[in-house]
Amino acid sequence: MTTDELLALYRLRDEDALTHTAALYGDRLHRLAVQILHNEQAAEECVNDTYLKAWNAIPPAHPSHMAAYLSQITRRCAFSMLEKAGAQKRNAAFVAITEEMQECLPDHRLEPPPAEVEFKEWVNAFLATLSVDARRIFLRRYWFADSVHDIAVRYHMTDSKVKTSLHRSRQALLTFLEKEQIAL
Amino acid sequence: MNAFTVLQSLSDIDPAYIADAEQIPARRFRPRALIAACLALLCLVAAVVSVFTHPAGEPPLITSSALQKDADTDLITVYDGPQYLEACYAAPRDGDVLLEIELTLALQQYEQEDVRYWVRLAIFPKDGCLNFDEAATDAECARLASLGYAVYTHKKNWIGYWGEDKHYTTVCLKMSADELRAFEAVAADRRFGYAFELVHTPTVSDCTRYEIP
Repeated sequence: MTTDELLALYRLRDEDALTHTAALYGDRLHRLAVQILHNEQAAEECVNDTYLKAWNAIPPAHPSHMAAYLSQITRRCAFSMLEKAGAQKRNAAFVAITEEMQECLPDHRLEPPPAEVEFKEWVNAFLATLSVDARRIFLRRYWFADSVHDIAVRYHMTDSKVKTSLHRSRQALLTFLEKEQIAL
Repeated sequence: MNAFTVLQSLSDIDPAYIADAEQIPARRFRPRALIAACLALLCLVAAVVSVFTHPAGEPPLITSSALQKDADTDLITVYDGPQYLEACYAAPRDGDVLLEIELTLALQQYEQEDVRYWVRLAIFPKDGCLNFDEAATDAECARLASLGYAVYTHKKNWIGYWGEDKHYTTVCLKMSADELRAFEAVAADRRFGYAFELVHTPTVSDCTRYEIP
């Protein structure tokens, strides 16, 4: 089934849309949720929540990248769960990712957070400055929460090359934030 | 905003970036790696072929151990003996044949193999070295060539300290072990002493094959 056919089912409010969505995207959404939450039950709950939110959002939403759209919902849901669970209950793998990201943030934590729209704009602008390879590696690590080794296997490179790329991207992010005078 | 919030907010990036990162990339074509692999394979094949399947009538040529490979010729291997083997020899007496140490060791090492040796020949008449006399050297080369030896020469001319013309003819031969061992009995002129040594310079391509006039 193509994305257009699936979206047509959503528009017709045909509940088969959910069955097909689960068949087409269920595995990858579950994997993403597990990567972030490291908890099978919570991940399952997160994926089911994704289907419900997609059902409610389409239409009027008409995503051009269905998989990415659903992944975004799953990711938001997983982060929401993490936020509710509190810092103490986050798994070690996720804590490592958070600490890496913390390295490249300017120390302006008392400043008010940027508006959501502004944040979305500058993060897209930052991603556009990276090379294709660097951007993919950056997103696999900080969007999909993949381990360094998994990224290396995915892109046929060594672990150290992935680490180097991530380090450079974080440095680029810090430079970008300082240059744009973005206070986090 | 802390790192957690930044990571959380990344959810809202352009979906095109997410879709791109979700693609399983095909293994990239890496021309440099391919070229390197092909060259390595070619070298390996060439080495194997040259060692084991040298053309009929053109057995491997052994040169001095001071050289690993002579790129100008189809040399197959080199004598893998002690490096920088030097010795001081007395000029061989008339009719005698001297094989220097490295050549003697190489003959022992390759005794069971069908190889030839790239050797330099110094010819000693009673009063010095024949190689300084162009005409006499040419005559000796002609004699050796007529006996069936593969003789090569490399001529060098220069002006001496007193302005006199100087000349030296380096005589090299491609010889089998049997030819070397039998040289004294078969080919040595009783007026001269002969000294053979393994060399790598001049190479075969540096020299001119001596043709009988």
